[in-house]
Amino acid sequence: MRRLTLDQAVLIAPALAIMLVFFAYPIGLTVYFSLLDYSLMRRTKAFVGLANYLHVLQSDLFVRTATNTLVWVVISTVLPLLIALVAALLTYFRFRGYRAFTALFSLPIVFIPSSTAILWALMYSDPFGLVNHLCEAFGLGRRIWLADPATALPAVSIANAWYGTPFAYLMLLAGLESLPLEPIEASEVDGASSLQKVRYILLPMLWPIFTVVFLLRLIDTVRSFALIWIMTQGGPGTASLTLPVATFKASFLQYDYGLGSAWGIINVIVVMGISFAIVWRRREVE
Amino acid sequence: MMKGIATRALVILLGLVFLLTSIPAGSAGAPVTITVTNRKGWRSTEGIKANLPQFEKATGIKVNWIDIPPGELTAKTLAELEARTGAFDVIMASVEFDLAAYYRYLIPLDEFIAKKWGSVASFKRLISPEAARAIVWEGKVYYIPFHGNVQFLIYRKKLFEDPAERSAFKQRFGYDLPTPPKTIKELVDVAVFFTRPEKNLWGLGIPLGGKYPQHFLEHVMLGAGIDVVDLKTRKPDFAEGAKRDRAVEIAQFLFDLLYKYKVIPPGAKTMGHVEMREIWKLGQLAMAFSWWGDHWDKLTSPEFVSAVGEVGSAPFPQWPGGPPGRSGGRMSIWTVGIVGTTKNKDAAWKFIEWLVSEENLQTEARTSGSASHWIAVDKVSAERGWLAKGLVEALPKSVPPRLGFLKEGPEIVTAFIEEAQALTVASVSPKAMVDRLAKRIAEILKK
Repeated sequence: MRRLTLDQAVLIAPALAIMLVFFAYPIGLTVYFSLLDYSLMRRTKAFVGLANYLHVLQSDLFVRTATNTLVWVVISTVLPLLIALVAALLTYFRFRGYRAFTALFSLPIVFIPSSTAILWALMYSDPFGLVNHLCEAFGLGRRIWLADPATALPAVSIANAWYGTPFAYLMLLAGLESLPLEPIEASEVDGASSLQKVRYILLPMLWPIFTVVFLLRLIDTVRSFALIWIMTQGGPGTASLTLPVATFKASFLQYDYGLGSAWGIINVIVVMGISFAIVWRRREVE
Repeated sequence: MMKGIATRALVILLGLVFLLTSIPAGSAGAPVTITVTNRKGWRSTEGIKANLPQFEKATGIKVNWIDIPPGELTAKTLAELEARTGAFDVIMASVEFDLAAYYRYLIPLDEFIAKKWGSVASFKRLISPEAARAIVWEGKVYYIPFHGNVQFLIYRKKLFEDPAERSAFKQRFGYDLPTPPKTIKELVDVAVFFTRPEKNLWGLGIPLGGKYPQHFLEHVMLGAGIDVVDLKTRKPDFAEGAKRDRAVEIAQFLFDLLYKYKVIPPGAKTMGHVEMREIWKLGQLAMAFSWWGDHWDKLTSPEFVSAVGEVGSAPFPQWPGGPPGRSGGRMSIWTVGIVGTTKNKDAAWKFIEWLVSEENLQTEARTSGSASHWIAVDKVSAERGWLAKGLVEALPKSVPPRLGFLKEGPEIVTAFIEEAQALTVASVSPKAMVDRLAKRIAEILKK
C-alpha cells in the first residue's frame, strides 16, 4: 500500500472534511444520543448505556413494527421488481408501441414521494377516490382502505410499489440492452423460442443486474418514510407503523432523541445487515 | 509542481477562513432584523403577515418571517432552542406542549408588560382567564396570547328550518327538532334523523383521521370533567371508579356514532377538517364538529352558502354530569415569546406589541374567523359577526388540554392517538381502549 504524500493529503482534505462533518459526525452523534436518556420535554441528558435499545427491543411495539416493516418491504420490493422485469422483457422484444409504453410506464419516476402519497391517498379516499369507484363498478363494494387495519399497510405498500416500478424498469431495461447479442443470436440459430431465450439466456445474464436493482430497491424501501407518513402516519393505531415512522414519532412527536436515535440506529443496522447479506451472497454465487 | 499547487490551495483556504471569520455580524447603523417563527399556511396569521410592511416601515425593524410546516413547528423550534443557535428571536407557541417545553429558553416578559399595561395583573385582566393561567410558568409571564380556538358544532340552517323536516322529526321523536341540539341525546336523535346514506346525507361529520379522534375524545372528556391525567396525583384520571365508567361511556358514544347509529360518513376515518369542510360543501352533512373557527370565513362565504345554504353554529353538547358552566375542552391558545439568546429584545418586544395590536387581532378575526383571547377584541369581533356564535359561546366554557402542562404530554398524546385510532377502526372495544390507554399513561408517568 502506497503512503499518501503531503500534497495528496492536502488535496483530499476538503472532501474528507466534508465527509466527516456531514456523514461521520451525524452518525456518531446519533449513536451517542442513542446511549442517553435524552428527552427535550423531560429535559434529561443522562448516559444510560444500552437501555434505549433494550426498551425498544423488548417492547410489543418493536414486534409490531418489525412485522409491518417486513410486509411493507416485501410488497414494495417484490411487486415492482416482478412488474418491471416483465415490462422490461416485453420492451426488449420491441413490441408494437413500445416507445409510447416506455414513456408512459416511466412516468411515475418524475413524482416525488409526497406527491405520490397525496395522489394515492386521494385515490383510496371515500367518497372521492378512484379505487372505490372501480371496486363498486366491479361489484366489490367500498372500503376505507387507509383506515382499515387489514388494508392500510398493503394499500400504502402498493402505492410505494407504483412509485418504485419505473426505476426498476429503466434499470432492468438498460441492463437488458447492455447484454451481449452473440448468445441470443446463437440461440435463435438453434431455434429457441422467445420464452426459452428468456428462461435460458436473458434471465441468467441479467441476474447480477437484477440483484443490484433488488438491493437498491430494498434499501430504499426499508428507509423510506414520506409516503407512509403522509398517507397513514403509521396508523390506524400502529397498523402501518414501520421502523422509520417509529423513529420519527419517538424523535419528533415525543421529542425523545435518545429513544428516537435508538430506533434510527436499529433501522440502519437492518439496512446494513440486508445489504451485507445480499452482497455476500452475490459474491458467493459469483 | 504538485507541492506548489497544494501550498497555494492551503494559503487560499486559510485566507478564506480568515476573511469569513473576521466579517462582523452586523455593522453599525444597519437595520435591526428579527426572526419570527410562523405556522406555515395558517389562515389565522396570513392577514397579520400581510400587515408586516406597515410595521417595518413604522419601526425600521426588519422581520424575517419563517414559515414552518405545522407538523414540524414544535420539533424544529425545540431543537433550535435546545442547541441555542440563536436562529429565532420570537417564537410562536401553542398550549398543547410548547408552553411547557419552551419557557426555560425564553425571557420573562413581566417588565415589558408592566411598562406597556401598568402591571401584570392589569394585563391579565385584558385576556381570558384560561389564557392568563397558561402563559405563567414558575410565577413569571413568558407568553403573550394572540389566537384562541375551540372545536364546535355547525349545522345547515336550511335543512333544520325546513317545515317538512321539522314535522317529520316531531312525528318520529315526539319533540321539536332542536336547532341546534343542546344535549347528547338530542344530538344523536338529530344525527340519526338526518342520516340518509341512499341520498349521500350524513347526520354528523367528525374528522377522524390522524390525530382528530383524540381531539374529539379529549374534548368530550374534558367537558365531562375528566382530565386525561390528574395533574395533582400524576395518574390517569380515568383509571378507575366513576370517571373510568364515564370515559368508557364516551368511548362507546364515539363507537356507536360510527358503528351502531352509523351517522358519520365512513370516509371520515381518514379525514382532517379540510376534507370535512369539502364534504360539507357538497351538502353531504347535516351537522359537523371540528375546528371550524379556522374555516368560518369559508363556511360563510358566498361560494359555500350558495352550495349548502347558511351555516349555524353552537357549542358541542356537554356530556351529562360534567362540571357546570363547561361545554367541552381542548381550548387552543397560541402565543408568542422572546427567545433568551436574542440580541434584539426590545425589537422583539416591539414586534409582539404590534402583533397583538387591536388592528392585527381584528384582522385575524376578520380574515380567518379566529378569536384572540383578548376580551375586548373578541367582543368587537363577535359583534361584527367575524366570529362564529358557536366559537364565542364555547370558548369561555372550555379549558386547554391538560397534557400541555406535563413534560410527558407528547408521549401520552401519541399513545392516546394510537388508541383512539384503534377505537375508530373497531380493532379494540371501547372498554378495552379506555383500560389500555389508562395502563399506557400510567407506565409513561412511572418512567
